[in-house]
Amino acid sequence: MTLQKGPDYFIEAAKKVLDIDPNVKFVVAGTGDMLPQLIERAASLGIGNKVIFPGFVDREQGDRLYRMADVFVMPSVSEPFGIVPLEAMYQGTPTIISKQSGVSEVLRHALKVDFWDINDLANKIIAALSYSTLHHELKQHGTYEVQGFNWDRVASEVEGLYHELGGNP
Amino acid sequence: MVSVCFYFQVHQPERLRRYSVFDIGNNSTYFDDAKNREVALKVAGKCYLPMNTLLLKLIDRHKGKFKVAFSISGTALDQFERYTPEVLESFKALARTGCVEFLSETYYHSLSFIYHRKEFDEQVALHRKRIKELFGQEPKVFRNTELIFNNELANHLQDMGYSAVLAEGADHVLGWRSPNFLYTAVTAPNIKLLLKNYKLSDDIAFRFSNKSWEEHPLTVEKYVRWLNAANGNGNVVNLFMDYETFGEHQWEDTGIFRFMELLPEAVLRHPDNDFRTPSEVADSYEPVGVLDVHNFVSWADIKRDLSAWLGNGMQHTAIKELYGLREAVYASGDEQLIADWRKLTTSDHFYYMCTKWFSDGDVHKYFNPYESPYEGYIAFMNVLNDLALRVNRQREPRRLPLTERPSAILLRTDGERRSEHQQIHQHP
Repeated sequence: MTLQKGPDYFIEAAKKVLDIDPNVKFVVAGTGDMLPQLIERAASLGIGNKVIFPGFVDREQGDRLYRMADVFVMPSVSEPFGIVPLEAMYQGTPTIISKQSGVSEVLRHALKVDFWDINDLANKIIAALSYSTLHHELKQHGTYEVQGFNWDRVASEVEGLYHELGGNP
Repeated sequence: MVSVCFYFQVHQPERLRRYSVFDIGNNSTYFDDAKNREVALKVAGKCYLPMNTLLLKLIDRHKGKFKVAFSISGTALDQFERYTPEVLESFKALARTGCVEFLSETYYHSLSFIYHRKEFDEQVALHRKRIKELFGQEPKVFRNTELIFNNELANHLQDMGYSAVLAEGADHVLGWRSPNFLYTAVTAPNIKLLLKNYKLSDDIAFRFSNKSWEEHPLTVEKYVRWLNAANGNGNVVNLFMDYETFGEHQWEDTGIFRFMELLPEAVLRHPDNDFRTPSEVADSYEPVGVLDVHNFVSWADIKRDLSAWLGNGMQHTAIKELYGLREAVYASGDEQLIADWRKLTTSDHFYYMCTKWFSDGDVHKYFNPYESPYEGYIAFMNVLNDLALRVNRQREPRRLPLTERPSAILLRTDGERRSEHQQIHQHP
């Protein structure tokens, strides 16, 4: 929970979502120096009972959270790549990522927002929750797309590059 | 005898702005006037104005022997009137030459034939009226949105009194037969089919500037040699393409304007060749065979079917909900509401939601104002929710929750509508 992960933008967007649909719950998983500030902000916005902070979650708990969620959001201000959206999509959860993350350049079947645009983030969260066809298409295509990402493929591509550049077929 | 028949499609949709959930109930401006104006001005400068000037010059130079046809959608005409009246004036000048035929289509370049026959008839009537007003012509030949065609359409158009209809000369429709003859549909013996010669059309429209194409560069001599090859083996070569091919898809520096400038002369050099408009072609030649086109065929993509507009669940849901709102929108009697609804029927809105990324994705991306098909769907469905709200306000002043089925709420009786409303609240 640090500045570059953009959790504060997520809380602001949550407030906007709840203004439209009060039945939504938000989970902000992880620890970090911004955690106390985020809890306070949620409370001061009057949405303390709608935002859950479970603290650190391990891999297994994380996967369970992905599966429980109707939509996963990674609002990072800066993220060299960002592997978590791939984990969420692997669990079949429609995913929203910031355009400022590296992974945004390679993913097609995720919704994308500018991290600072909390209106657009809220708009897309509500759309993914309200429009079941959209939810279904993102889930189906996203799960399929993310299966193409694996270390074996990356390793063999890198190996191929070395061969190509080294002139050794 | 080989007649060369040019038909150019002119269309611009009224693109939506990024309509957000927060706009619903607060702002019913759906269309992105700034963006639409920007595109209209850009394409006018690169294509419509220079190409219309060239066509006028060619018609004048060849003293009535060079002819072309246009189909211009109502949404394009509206935007020319609003943003670039000089484009409209130059089309009127072309109409005055007597060498330019204007075809009939749906005003909103819509898929209404597939979804609502009455809406289709109304949109066709609106378009006919507009063409008559602007260009003084009563179209005799029909071309449906994106050359979408089947037996049923042929039958319907025959009943409406058309003499001919344009369609794609798709391989799976023609089989061994040539697109360079006229045909009829099995359901409609009195209406002639003019089929697009997609090879020769796409040589200009798609391959002209493609340097990896083995025939690049395409010279006028080479192209006319291909056209002449149809002599003795066909009556007409139908060259159907988007008008934006000239200067917009194929930029000026590819030599496309020069190519078109030299083409008529080279075609007419052969004494057996001439240029005819679609209705002249229909009057001149007899059909040589009967086609049975049960499934819809179009000119889009590799598959030549409807999958560019109706290939995924989002596209189906969006269009079903749109047409589901129709009766309530019309019953409102609110002209602005009806006008907005009609502009939403334009096929481009559904094209933007296409997820066929891998084979045709690049073409789709080029034309898409959205960053992804999902964005297109979200904006469209948000607009439909606002539209439903506007209809509903006239019945009961109450806000509805966001729903993917706005039509379901409106079309029920009051009692049922209320219970549906509660249900949605309970299960968002």
